[in-house]
Amino acid sequence: MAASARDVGDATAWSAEAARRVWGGAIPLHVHLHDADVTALPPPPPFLTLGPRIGYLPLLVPIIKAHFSSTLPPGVDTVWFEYKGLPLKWYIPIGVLFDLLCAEPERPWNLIVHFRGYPAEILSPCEGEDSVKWSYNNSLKEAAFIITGNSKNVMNMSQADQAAMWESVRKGDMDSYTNISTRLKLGLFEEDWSVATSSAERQQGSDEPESPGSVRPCRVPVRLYVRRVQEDLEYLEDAIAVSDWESVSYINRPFEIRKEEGKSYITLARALETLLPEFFSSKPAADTQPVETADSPPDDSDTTPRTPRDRDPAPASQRGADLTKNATEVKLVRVQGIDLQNNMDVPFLWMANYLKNPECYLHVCVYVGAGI
Amino acid sequence: MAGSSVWDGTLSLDEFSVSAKALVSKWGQIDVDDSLPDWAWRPCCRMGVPSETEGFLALEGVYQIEENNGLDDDGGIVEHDTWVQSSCDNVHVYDFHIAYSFSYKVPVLYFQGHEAGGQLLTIDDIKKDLSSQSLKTLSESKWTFITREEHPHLSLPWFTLHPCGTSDWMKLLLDKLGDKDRSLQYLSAWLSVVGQANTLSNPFQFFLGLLKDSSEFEALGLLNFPLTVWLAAVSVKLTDCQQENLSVERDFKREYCSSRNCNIHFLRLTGRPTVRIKTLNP
Repeated sequence: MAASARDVGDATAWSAEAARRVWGGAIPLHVHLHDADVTALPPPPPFLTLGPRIGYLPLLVPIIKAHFSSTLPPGVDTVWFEYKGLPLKWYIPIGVLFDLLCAEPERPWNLIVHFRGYPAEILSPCEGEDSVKWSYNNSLKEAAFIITGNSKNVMNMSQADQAAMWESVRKGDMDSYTNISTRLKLGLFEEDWSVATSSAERQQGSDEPESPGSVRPCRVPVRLYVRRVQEDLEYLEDAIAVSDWESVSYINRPFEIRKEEGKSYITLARALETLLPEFFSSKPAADTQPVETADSPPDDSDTTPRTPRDRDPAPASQRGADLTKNATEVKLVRVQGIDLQNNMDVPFLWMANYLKNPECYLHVCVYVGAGI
Repeated sequence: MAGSSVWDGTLSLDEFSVSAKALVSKWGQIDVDDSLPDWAWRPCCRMGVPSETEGFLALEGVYQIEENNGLDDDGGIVEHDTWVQSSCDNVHVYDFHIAYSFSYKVPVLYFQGHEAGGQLLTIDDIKKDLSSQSLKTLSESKWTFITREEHPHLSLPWFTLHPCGTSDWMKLLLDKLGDKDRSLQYLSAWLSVVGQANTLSNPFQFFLGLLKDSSEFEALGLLNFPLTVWLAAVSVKLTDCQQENLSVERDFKREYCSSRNCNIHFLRLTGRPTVRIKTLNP
C-alpha cells in the first residue's frame, strides 16, 4: 500500500486507456418497433445499431426514426424506449441502463421503441436532443458544485465551449472533450492525496480538532443504482427483470471524506460502506450492540444465528471476512460493465477519475438480494 | 458558536432534520384557519427499511380552486366560510415535498398538482394557478426556475425549483444568526422565499405580506439586511395570530391585497379550506 504513489505513476498510461475504453464502449442494440406503432405490413425488421456507453437513448432517435419512417403513423412523435415492459429513463446513460437492467449481459440488447403514448407519469418529458443536453449540463453543474463547492466554472463557460463540449459528448470524441473540460478545473482526485496530506498534517499536530471552515472535505460525485433481486439468487441470468422503477433505489449522493480519515487509501468497499451502510457495513451498530453485552436483557431471540465473528469488533484483517458475510446480501457491484463484487479493494478515487462519465459522475450499479 | 466564521448557506443532513422538525411544529401553531394540511415527516425507505435519519417533508392535499362563474368574482371579499359546490373540473390538488439535496446541501422543493380526477397538471396548467406575483418572481429571478426532475425518494418526475442558487441567497438571509438559530429557522426562512415562486399557500408569506411587500423583502434580503429583525417580528405575529385568527386574516387581506392589487378568498371545500388569491389585473 505504501507503494501506491509509484503504482499510480506507472499506471498512468493504463489509466488513460481505461478512460478511453469507457468512451469507446458501446452496447449493440436491437431496436424493435412497438406493435401499436406499426402501420405497414409486413412489419419492419428491427434496427441494429450501437449505443455508446456514455451516450443517451434519445440521441439515437434520428437514425432509428429514419429506419422506421415508412411505417410510422402520421402525427406528432413522442419517442420512448422500453425493455421488458419497463420504460427506460432517457437521462440515464445507456451503459448504466444496460448494467442495471441486464443482470446477465444480453447482446444485442433487445429494446422496443415507441413513437406514441409517452408515459408522462413515469418519465420526465423529453424534447429530443435539447432535453438531453440540458440534463447533461445540469448534471455537470451539480458535479462541479460537489467537487469545488460552486458551479461557477460551468455557469461561466462560453457558449462556444458549451456547444463544443456537448458535441464531443454526442460524438464520443474524448480528445476534444478533454481539451475543453480541463478549463473547468475540476481536476482529478489525487490517488495518493491522503498519504501526502496525513504526513504533512502530522507535523502541524495531528490531534487538532477538525475545523470545518479550513479543511475542505474531498467530495466525489456518485450516482448509485441499487436494484433489488431475489434473496436466493444464485445465477445472474435468473434475476427477475425490473418491472418498475420502484425496485431500483436511485441514490444521488456524493462520497465525502475528510483529510483526517484519509489515512489509508480508499477502496471501493470502503466507499460503499460509507454510502450504503445498510448493505456494506462491516459492523452494523444495531447488530453488534445487543451481542456485545451477551448477559443483558432477554430480547435476544434474534441473536442465535449470529456467528462469533459478530461479537468482536472486526480488526482490519477481518474486513474481508465481513464482506463475505455481506455477500449473501450484495449480489453484484458493476461499474462501466465491470463486475467488481469480488474486487472490492479497487482504489475508489481511481475509479472516480477514470471510470466516470463525461458529466463527471461515477455511476455504480449494485444488486441486492431482498424479499421480492 | 462553532468556529466557522464564514457560513456558506448550506446545511447538513442533521441540521435539515432539526430544521424540518422546527418547521412542522411552527406550521402547526400558526395554521391560519386551522385546517390547512400539516407538514409531515416521511422517513425514506430503502429496500423496505425505513431510515432513521433520512426522509423528506410532505404537505399534501392543498386545494386550489380555479376561477369559476359560480363564485363571487366581482372583487368583493368573500366571507370566510363560503361553501363551494364541488365542481370537479376546477379543483387542483397540490402535493409539496421538501427533500434534502446531498449535492447542494440545501432543501429542495418538489411539487405536483393533479385534477380531482387524478390527471397530472402540466407546467402550463400550474402557471395558470400561480399569482401574477409568483410568475413575476419566476421570470425575473435568476435563482428560482421550475424544472421537472426525478423525485429523489419516489423515482418519479416531479416539478422542482432548481436548488443551484439556494445556498447563495440563504447565506444572505441568515448570515447574522448563530449556528443553532440558523438550523431552527432555516426551513421556514427558505420556505418564505420559495413559497413566493409557487402556489404554496404559505402562512409565512402571509406575515411577510403584513410586514413588507415581498419584492421589497427580496431586495432587502439580497442586500444582506439583518433579517433577524424580520424573523423576530414574525414570531411575535405568530403568537398574536393564535388568539386572533380572524383579525389577522382581515388585516392580511387588507395589507396583502392592496399591496398586490389582488383579492384573497378563503374558501372551504370538502372539509378542507384553501386560500385563493385572485389577481385583479392579470
